[in-house]
Amino acid sequence: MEIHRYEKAWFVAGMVLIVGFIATVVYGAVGPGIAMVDDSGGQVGANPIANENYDAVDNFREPGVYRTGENSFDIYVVAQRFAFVPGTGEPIRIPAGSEVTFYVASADVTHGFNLAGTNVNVMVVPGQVSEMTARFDETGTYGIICHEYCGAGHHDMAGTFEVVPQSQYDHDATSDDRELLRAALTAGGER
Amino acid sequence: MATVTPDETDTETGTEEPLLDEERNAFVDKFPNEARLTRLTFLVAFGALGIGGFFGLIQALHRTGAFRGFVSSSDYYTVLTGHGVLLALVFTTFFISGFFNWAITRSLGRGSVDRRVAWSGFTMLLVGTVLAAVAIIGGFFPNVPLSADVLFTFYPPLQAHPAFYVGAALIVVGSWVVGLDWFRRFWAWRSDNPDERIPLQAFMVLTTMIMWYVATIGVAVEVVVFLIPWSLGLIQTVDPILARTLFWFFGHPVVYFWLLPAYLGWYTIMPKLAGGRLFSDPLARVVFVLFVLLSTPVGFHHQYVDPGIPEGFKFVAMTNTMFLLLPSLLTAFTVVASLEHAGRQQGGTGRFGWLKTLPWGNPAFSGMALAALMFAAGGFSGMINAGMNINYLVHNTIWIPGHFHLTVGTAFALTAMALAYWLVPQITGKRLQLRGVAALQPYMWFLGMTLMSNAMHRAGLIGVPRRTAEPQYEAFSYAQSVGGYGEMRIQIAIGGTLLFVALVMFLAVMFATILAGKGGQLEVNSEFPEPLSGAEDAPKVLDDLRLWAVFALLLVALAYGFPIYSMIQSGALDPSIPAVPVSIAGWLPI
Amino acid sequence: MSKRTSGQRGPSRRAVLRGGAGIAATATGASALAGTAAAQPQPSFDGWLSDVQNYNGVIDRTGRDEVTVRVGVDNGGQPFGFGPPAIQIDPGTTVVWEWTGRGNQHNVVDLDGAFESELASEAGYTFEQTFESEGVTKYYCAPHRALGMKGVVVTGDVELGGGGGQPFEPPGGAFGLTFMGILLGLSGLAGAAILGADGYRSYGAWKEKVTDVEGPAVESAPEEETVERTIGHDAFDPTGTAALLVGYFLILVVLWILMYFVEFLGGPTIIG
Repeated sequence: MEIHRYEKAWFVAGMVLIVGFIATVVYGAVGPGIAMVDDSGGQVGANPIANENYDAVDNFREPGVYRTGENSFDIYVVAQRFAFVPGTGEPIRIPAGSEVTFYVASADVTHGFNLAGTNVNVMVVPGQVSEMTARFDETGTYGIICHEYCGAGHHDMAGTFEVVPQSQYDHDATSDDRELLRAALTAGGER
Repeated sequence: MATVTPDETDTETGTEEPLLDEERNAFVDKFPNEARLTRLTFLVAFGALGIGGFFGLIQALHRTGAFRGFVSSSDYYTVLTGHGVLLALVFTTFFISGFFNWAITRSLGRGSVDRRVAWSGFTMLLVGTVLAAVAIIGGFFPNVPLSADVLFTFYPPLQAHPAFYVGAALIVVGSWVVGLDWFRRFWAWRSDNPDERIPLQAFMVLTTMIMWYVATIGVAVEVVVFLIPWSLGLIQTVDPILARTLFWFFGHPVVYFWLLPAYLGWYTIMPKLAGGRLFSDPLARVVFVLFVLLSTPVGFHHQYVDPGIPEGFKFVAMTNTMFLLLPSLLTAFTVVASLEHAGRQQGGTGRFGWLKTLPWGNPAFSGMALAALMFAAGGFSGMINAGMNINYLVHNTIWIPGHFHLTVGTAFALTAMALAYWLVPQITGKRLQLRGVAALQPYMWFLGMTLMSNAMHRAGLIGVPRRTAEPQYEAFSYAQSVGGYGEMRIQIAIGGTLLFVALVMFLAVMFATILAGKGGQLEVNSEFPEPLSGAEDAPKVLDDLRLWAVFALLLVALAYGFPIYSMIQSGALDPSIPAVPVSIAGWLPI
Repeated sequence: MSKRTSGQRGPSRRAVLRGGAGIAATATGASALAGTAAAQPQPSFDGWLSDVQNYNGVIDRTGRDEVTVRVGVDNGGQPFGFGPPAIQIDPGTTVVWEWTGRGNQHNVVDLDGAFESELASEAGYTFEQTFESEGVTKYYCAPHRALGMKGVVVTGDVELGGGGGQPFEPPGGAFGLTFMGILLGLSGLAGAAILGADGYRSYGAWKEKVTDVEGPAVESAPEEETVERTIGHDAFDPTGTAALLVGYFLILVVLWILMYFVEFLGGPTIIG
């Protein structure tokens, strides 16, 4: 089979491009340490989430912001038709410079969870918990968008995620956060 | 009978014998049954294109806020389901079955072995379409107990009326039967021609169908084993992750089911229209074989950001996907080189001067050339989508529709329209009408798509979501970027409108042509010059279709076997996820 | 203001009614299209209540200190409604929204941003607001706004206007709409001109059913006649192709680098 020499050169160029793309992606995983959301969040039925029966599951808890360290938080979010809990209505707030681990579960159908304009962008599939960690170093307000069709009210499903200056955070911490934390602590601490 | 004048010689054989009229008869009279079948499939295809395209206009105006008077925002999703199903499933499948029917008939020189098989395949396709369409349209009317507001991907636990799923299953099975007719012709041809190379167009049809048979396994299992019983209440729950996985098993190779017919046009017909020859037949075969092997074991790249799927499976899908770039890159070379050859044969000189001598006034050519050009851009955004972690940037944003409107929306759709300009006269025996309109139409489409798609890509980067009736939120505003969000919305609205105008132009040409009188001298012919590098240069192993089919199944088993097995191990066959019907009150299966 | 009883989380009836959520969606939307929204001689408040199925006029609740509006009542067959959606009260009255426990989480949000309740779902949860000055207050439930869960509080003796359709929101404002209108108009004119000119000729041909209709359709002559020169396999080096592809390759590399290292790595990313 005779192949024109230009075509051979182009074939090589194509392979270089392909390998280059794969190498860039691998670099992203190794250097900045980007990880893909996977099955580490575990499984959870939709019914316990829908019925707010959090005692029945061991990989999810009542939605809210939980401080787990000086600069780290766990945020449990429930995605349902057609709101994020928390997020819709009352914004989720964390101080700048924090590392946040999100745990997002669905109460009904498949939703999306996207901090608009960032790379925090995952699917929320009933039966699974989406677990992901991200750092927020700069202040700003991000919209939380559901980008997977979930029904007629899909376009109303949005929330806000605010990264506030450190100093502001302690003042703004809502009573609910403290109550939740208190409740969590009195119930026996971190699970 | 049109008389033969003495200077019409058979230039290929170099003899002085005048061509017999039957050899120059148009397809419509050489193979009347196949021509009729192709005409009917095109009728359904272009009807679906018209309705689906109108829905697209409604969407473009609604979601940008330019005009929300057609439907409410809740009904937007019914429109969106109709747009996706009519264009990405009905228009494509029907056009391809008609086009391939022509291609394999002309290429092997024979019609159906058993016409009943071909016609029953078409009937299944049609019945399935009607069922699904009725279910979707029912979503507009509250009094009708049918609806399917589940979008083209129909992810459970959103649940449509069973008619929708049955319709979808019939479309898939109908396509299998249609393919069976083609394979039977091939086997008959093979027994008459044991040592010959498979003619190129027939080779392309058959390899595409092998890929299709492998690909549809996923969606057939999803729909027949799970979704139909579930929608009828025979099984209680379906695991959403398993369903998504089975869907995307099919959902990626389906795009190659759309692309490869376009490639058939670009490889074999476009050079001829330009006055040149295909650069290399062997390389065309290699490209198609690569697609047979690599199209399906990549589906997880649509699930990069799904929970419940380990990163390892996603990485394997990524490497396979990146290698799938290769056949398209090779195609770029072969197609452009063939056009360069054509341009130079027409007298073009200089490094780029040959571009000018190409027949840009011929809409069959310009449509395919512009479609190929746009595909080069769409290929880039596809490369971004394929990057496992950079996918976070674009997943489910409007970048994704920006990408696929370049690929299926232009590379496929505009090529289909271009091919129609060339083929419809041959299958109807009528000359093309409204030729001025036809000549302009591809440019109008290209302009509209450029505007709309570039704005969609940029809007996706600032986070604007897809599949959303009103992506303007009160709770926050999008980050400012070059141009500003408002300007992107205007571009999408204008681009979408121009596309609709171009669509109307195409349908007008088709309609006028159908009304014209039949018979006499056409302006097109189906003579194909020999490729520069012919089939005899291709290794014989390329023609061993059975080998490639087995290899493809093996690769798919490797890519999907273990993941699906581990999903079943973790309880995917017995999940506790209740259904969420999107049907109207009065019908609740569970 | 809001009584948050976070310790008491009784069983909600969401699971039973969730199946109905999709039904409400389609029903409400479809009714908007099919125009079956019940004939509304009552004002729609600039279209605010035009897609609220359980709206049957402004209910008079004057002469009281406290008025209750239920949250999560039947609206078009689904529990995504306020009961009643529109009330008229005296200045100084307190409106108490009381949750029924049906229909998932609801809240009460003022359209102008003056007040907003928490998201809650349990029966008996309340949120109240006292309306001192005269005027029309539009409010809604955020998760179910699209399903028609909206309401109005008319305080005092206010002139109630007639209804209207949903207002447009053209993205570029008047400019955008005008621009699009001009563009559409021009396209239409151009299309009509071409169709007209072409159509005239085609119509003529169609009328006489052009050419000899007897006999089969015959293809045109093969193209070899139009070629200026034939170039064989060995004579052909696709230099133009090579140049174009080199250019394409460079564009791909540059765009990939920009996309990956600037656009992608520039923002918050998932690292675990």
